[in-house]
Amino acid sequence: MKGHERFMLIELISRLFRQPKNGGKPDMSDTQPQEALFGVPLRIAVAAARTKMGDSIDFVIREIGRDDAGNPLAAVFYVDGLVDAGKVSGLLETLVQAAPNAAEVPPPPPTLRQMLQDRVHSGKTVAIPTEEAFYSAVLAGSAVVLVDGCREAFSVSVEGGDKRNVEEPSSQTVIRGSKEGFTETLSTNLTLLRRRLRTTQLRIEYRTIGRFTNTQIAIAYLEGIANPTVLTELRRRLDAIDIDGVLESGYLEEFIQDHSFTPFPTVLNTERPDSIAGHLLEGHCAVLLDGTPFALVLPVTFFKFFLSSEDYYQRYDIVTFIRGIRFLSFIVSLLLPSLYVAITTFQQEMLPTTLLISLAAQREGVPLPALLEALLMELTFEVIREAGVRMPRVIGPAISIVGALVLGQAAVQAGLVSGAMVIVVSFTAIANFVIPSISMSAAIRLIRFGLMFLAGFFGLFGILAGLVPLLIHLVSLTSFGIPYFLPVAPLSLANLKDVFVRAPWKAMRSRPELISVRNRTRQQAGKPNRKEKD
Amino acid sequence: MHKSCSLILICALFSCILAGCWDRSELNDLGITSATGIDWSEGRWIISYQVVVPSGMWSGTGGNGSSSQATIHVFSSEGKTIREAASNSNLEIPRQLYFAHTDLVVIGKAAAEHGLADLVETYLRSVEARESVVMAVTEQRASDILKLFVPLERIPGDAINKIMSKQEAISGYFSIVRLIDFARDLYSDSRTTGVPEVNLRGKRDAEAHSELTSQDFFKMTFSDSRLRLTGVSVFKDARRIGRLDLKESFGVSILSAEVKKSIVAVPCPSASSPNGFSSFRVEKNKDESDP
Repeated sequence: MKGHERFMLIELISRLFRQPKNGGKPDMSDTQPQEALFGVPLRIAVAAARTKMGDSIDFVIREIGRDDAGNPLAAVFYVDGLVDAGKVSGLLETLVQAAPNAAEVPPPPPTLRQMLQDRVHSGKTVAIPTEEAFYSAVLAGSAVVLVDGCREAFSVSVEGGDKRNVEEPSSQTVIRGSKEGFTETLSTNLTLLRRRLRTTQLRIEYRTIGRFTNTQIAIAYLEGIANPTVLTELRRRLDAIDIDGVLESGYLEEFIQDHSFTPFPTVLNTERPDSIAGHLLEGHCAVLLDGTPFALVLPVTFFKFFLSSEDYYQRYDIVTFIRGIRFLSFIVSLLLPSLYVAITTFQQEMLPTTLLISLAAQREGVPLPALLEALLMELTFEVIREAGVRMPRVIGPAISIVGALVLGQAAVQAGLVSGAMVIVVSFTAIANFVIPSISMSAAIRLIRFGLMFLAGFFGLFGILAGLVPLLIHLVSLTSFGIPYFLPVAPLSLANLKDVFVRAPWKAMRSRPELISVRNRTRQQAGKPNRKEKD
Repeated sequence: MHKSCSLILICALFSCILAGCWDRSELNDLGITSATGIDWSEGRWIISYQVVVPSGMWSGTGGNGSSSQATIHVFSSEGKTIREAASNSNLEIPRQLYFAHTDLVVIGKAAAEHGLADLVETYLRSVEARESVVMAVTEQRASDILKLFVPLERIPGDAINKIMSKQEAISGYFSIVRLIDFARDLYSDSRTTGVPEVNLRGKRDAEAHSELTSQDFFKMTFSDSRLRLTGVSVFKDARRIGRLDLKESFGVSILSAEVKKSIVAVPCPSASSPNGFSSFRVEKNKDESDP
């Protein structure tokens, strides 16, 4: 695609989705008179804050102390539910004790800050100089203390409220390995990561994205190991995002990926902290965000989507075998229905005689052509699968009975579908589940249908005519500038140690090429891990 | 974008030409032919097809051929040329005949004596028919041989082919002759070749015939009559000019070093049994000929 054509396409798309002229920005300056919070009598500041929050019932303002005129001397602002009730009451207690009664002069701000830091044992206390920072601190779950007449407020971190516990990840289960999965809370997730990488080189950078959601984003990487070009590019792409809300890492994934017009994921997502730690050690970067257990890993290659974190915990020879099964399943999942259609409708010569007769016998009396039969069964399976994901857990057994008995056995017995086709579709479906990454298996499912059409119209040549452009497309993809098909094209023998086979740990002395550029040594050469016995 | 679009278009176009949508056929529209028979009678070619009945092989819901349907059906049609006879078969066969899996062509004695040049030409010219098909000659009519079941096997054409290749590998009495070998031999210096004969042995009356053509045959544990390889028909210039029996053809096989493995019985008189025999296993067969 040439540059100007791409530009025209983007222009066209953006014209389709053109937003109103002001870009949908929350424009409150017109509707509400701007009232200052700082440097005004506290009474006015409290009223201003209340107006700004629109009298929301969960926005709590606690006033402390009264002067002679009955005006409050200090006030604590917080959002109920975002804070830990015990910590807040501790803070209030401290403030009340320290609060000057009417006779005394309020302590000057530096003293107050020192006092809060000394007495409130609930984490950091930060000065809030602007109104914007004031509200974001309140909404982030801090309690903000404002003293009458002060030019600055102080936020005390009292975050709390309900959150999910660390549980076993539901989408990426392992037999051997850590059973911890990320949760929706960013701080918990970062703790899980930090526990695995207890080094000063683990760096975490914060960003806030989303005009309404103000979602906290953390970039995690290992200083000195991660590729600096990738990091710079990642920061640039994240900073360029301007959106009203980010609710899941999928939003970010679409914004920061290199290519939009591809079914293949170029950013890996995982809910396993050990997987993230392993990737960071190889030189990848990770993006975690508040509100989702799924973190992003980048840059990634095509083959990363076929590896599981368990691969590194099991014995290398067994893992090599299992990886063989996975890549075989990938081929089956992509090609089996189309190969079946192509061979049974065009290239029957390829089948052994007995198999041909057996297949012909099963197709005896089946009303639909093989292509339609395959499409119908594949679509049926996709429907069952989607139903299985969406339906309430209690109805689960019902759908499996309907799926297995009615659509499988009964369809064959009624002569609507041939038995071989049911086997092909089921095997394809099961092979699809072997692929560890959901986003990759979804891409394969999509392409499978295209290949089935090609197979139904053009036979094996059609499949080839589909696969060759697919391969061209895959090789042309990049993930943050790193070739998507990395260890294979361009060929990198060093990286091939951990793709189709998993070399023993002793043999993996270096980090993968291109992913990690600065410090590639994993193990010092010439230092055996253990002494050989005589 | 234009470039990649046109690339995809070219790919699609090529696949059209290469694959050909017109070649598309569903499995249940194919008449899978397991054997072909050629006869010559009163100046006309009779061509017979042994077509597999898939539902006889495997009944619809699975289960291995328990249905009472026959596993094959034989169609015969005649014409002035082989091509015409083949074309006439379309008048009575509902399915598109499919020859890629045809293992065997059986040639009736009359046709063999009339000459097979036409047959070879038809095979070499036809796109569908395979030159690798194995040939057999019969003293009876080829169409009759095609109708006969072979014990243990459900497709007779396949069974005769298996008998031939198995005896070639283990006993070495005859060597398999594919149509392409036949054609090649006809253009060799000697212009002669031999093709194995398959004949009905044992009782050969009408009763035996009806017994072997019925699906009930599979319910019996013994039959007096069965198909058997009996010798070799000798062809010169594509015409059958005579035959060799088992012993003679084995001799020819040994002389031409075509025997891979065999058993030879030799007289071995001893005190206890003056007419005793002993067996040798042939492991290697080498020859040198000086023309």
